[in-house]
Amino acid sequence: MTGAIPPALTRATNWLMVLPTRIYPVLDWFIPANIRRDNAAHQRARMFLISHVFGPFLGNTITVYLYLLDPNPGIGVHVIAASITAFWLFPFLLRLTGWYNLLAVLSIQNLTFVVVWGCYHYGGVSSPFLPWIPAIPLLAFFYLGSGTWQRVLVLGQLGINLFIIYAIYAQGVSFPVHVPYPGANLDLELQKLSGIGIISTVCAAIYVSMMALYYANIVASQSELEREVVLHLSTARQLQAAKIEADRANQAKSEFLAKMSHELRTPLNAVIGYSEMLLEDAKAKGRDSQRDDIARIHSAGKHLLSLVSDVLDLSKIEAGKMEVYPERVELADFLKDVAAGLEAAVSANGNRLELAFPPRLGVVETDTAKLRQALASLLNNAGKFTRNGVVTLGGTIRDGWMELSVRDTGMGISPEKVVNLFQNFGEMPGATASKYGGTGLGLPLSQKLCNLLGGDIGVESTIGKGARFTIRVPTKCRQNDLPQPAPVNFPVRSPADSASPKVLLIDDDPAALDLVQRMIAKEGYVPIRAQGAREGLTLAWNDRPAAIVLDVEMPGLSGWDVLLTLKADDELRDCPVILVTSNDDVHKSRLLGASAHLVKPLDREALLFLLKQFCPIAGAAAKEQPVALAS
Amino acid sequence: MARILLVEDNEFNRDMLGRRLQRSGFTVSFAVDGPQGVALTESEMPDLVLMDIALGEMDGWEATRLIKANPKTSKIPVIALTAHALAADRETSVQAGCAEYDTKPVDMPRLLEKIRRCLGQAQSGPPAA
Repeated sequence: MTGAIPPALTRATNWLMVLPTRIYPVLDWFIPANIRRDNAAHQRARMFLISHVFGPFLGNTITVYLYLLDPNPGIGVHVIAASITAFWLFPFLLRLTGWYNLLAVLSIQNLTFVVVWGCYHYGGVSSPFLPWIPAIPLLAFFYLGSGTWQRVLVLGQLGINLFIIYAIYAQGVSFPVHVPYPGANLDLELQKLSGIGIISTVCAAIYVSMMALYYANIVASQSELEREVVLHLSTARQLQAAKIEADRANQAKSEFLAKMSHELRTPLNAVIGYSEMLLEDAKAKGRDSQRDDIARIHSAGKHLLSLVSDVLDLSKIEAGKMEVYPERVELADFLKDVAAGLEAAVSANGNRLELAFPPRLGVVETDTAKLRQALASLLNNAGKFTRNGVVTLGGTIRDGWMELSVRDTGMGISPEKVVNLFQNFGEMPGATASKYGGTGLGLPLSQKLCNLLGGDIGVESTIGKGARFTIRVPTKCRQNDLPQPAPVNFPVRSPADSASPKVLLIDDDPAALDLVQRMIAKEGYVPIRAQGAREGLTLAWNDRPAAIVLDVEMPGLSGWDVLLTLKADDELRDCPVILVTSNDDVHKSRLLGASAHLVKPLDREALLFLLKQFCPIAGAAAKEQPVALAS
Repeated sequence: MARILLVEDNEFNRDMLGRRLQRSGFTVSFAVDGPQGVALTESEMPDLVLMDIALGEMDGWEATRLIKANPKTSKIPVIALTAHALAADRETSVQAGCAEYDTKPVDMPRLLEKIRRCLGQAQSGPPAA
């Protein structure tokens, strides 16, 4: 038996620990909403309530015992009974007033009073009430928490109470030996009193243990919560790492494809070029049989080249490196131009190319090269799958969108093929390029190009009745499909800021820093120098500049890294950054969120113009009309 | 007879494009890299330079900048040739001082048209200023 915890005891402690959680709904009824919102305060309030609901039962066992023992109970025991019972009022007071801290202090005071009162009237230093003294600070810390002011408050309160009782004692007031049956055998009576002592000690022990167990329960559940949070965090971190890894692998794949495609193009150029030369020779010398063979080499070479180009383009799009260059163009003119370029390809199978749009459609702003590529792919396909039919190119503009359609009278596409039409052939089970007559990449690429322009391609088809592909893109396409920061944002600054705006200069070259510092200091800006990326970031966080002039070419952390870090920071995101580079990365710098871009050697006028836009000096007007304000 | 300097590092492309230009009636000389291209432009004073962009160490744009920076050769039109048909390449080419821009593989009739246009402008003499 020894050594092992009796199962009954285990059950009892479990029950003690679980019981409070069962009555949470009842307890929470007493707790005002503002306390419930703060988790720690909520837990403390629950402990306060448990203590006040169960505590008086235990405390009153002593009162009941005293009443039974004393045939004519006096003021001493009445006060004890009233004080202990008063604890039951506290939950209701809490619900009524919501003054949690005040009630907690009052409750501690009440407990201290009843313990001291009990000691005073029953037994003095050998009083059965003494075991409750350690419960006082324990409960106080449970109720109020264990911060510095709480400790001072609780210990102070206890000290004052003890001092008062000592003061009374020191005044010469002796302890009233308040024992039942005055005049009877004192020893016998004191023996009876020790009975109360046992009950009191047991009650105090049960009470304190209950509270301690409950407290342990809370701590355990909280640390479990923390463990869970840590677990979630590490899972999230792993996921993120996996994603970065996957992105990197995909990037590597795209880069490999791009490099391969580029390498393949050079020999293909030779194949196409030489075969073209031979073809001219054969034509000139009338060698017909040779001419056909060379023509096959030539067309195979061109086919291969278009395949390589498509792979290059697709990999570029997938790597996010395809850039969009919008141009303004009259849509009808553009369509006529595209049609003229593809007339020969479409009519190869005896088809007729018809144009079904009015002579004027309106000016659109889009990347014409990409739109042309997508349209050409559709027209080529239409010509390939139609014999002796009609291919119609249509175009309309409606509600800010242009709809360009290519309709043919060819064989049509079955519904199950329509589903796979826009997938890269690598993703399509059992399909080969030859099955589709082209590279197999034309349609997926066209679709991705249209996506890049902010639109899409749709298709309708009936077997035997031809197909109709429709490109739908905005008439005004954005610079790039990526989330684009406003190219030039003029943040609103408070007047206090603009009195003499701080401008952070980040450059690894001290001479360059000197130069820019002189340029802007003369104009009333306060330059902050940072030599290098790390110092620059630190100063950006510390000094909150109104604008940042950032050099891109720095050893170690580059200006791009600094820019990315700044733009990822919630508080520094809005700070305008003027990038200074020696090469022309305008597009990259705008994509990464730079407000402006200057090329070295730095042009003073341009820099000052930009600074004036981003952080105007409050006294800017004062520069023109001198004012006698400063002195 | 117009003289063209072809700057191209790939042997096949140099041979092929050179022969095709010769067939079209031009006198062609060759350079295999950027520095040689810049040097030959100054020593031979061709009527036009066809400049490949992907040239290794010194790329075609840099070579073009050097040609344009030299007052002796700055009037000679340069046509850039690149394998990638990026709009950014066209912009860079124009900024470097190229008169024209074309992509590889060359579409011979189109390239010849561009060459003739550049030569026509160059021969019409400097604008009266």
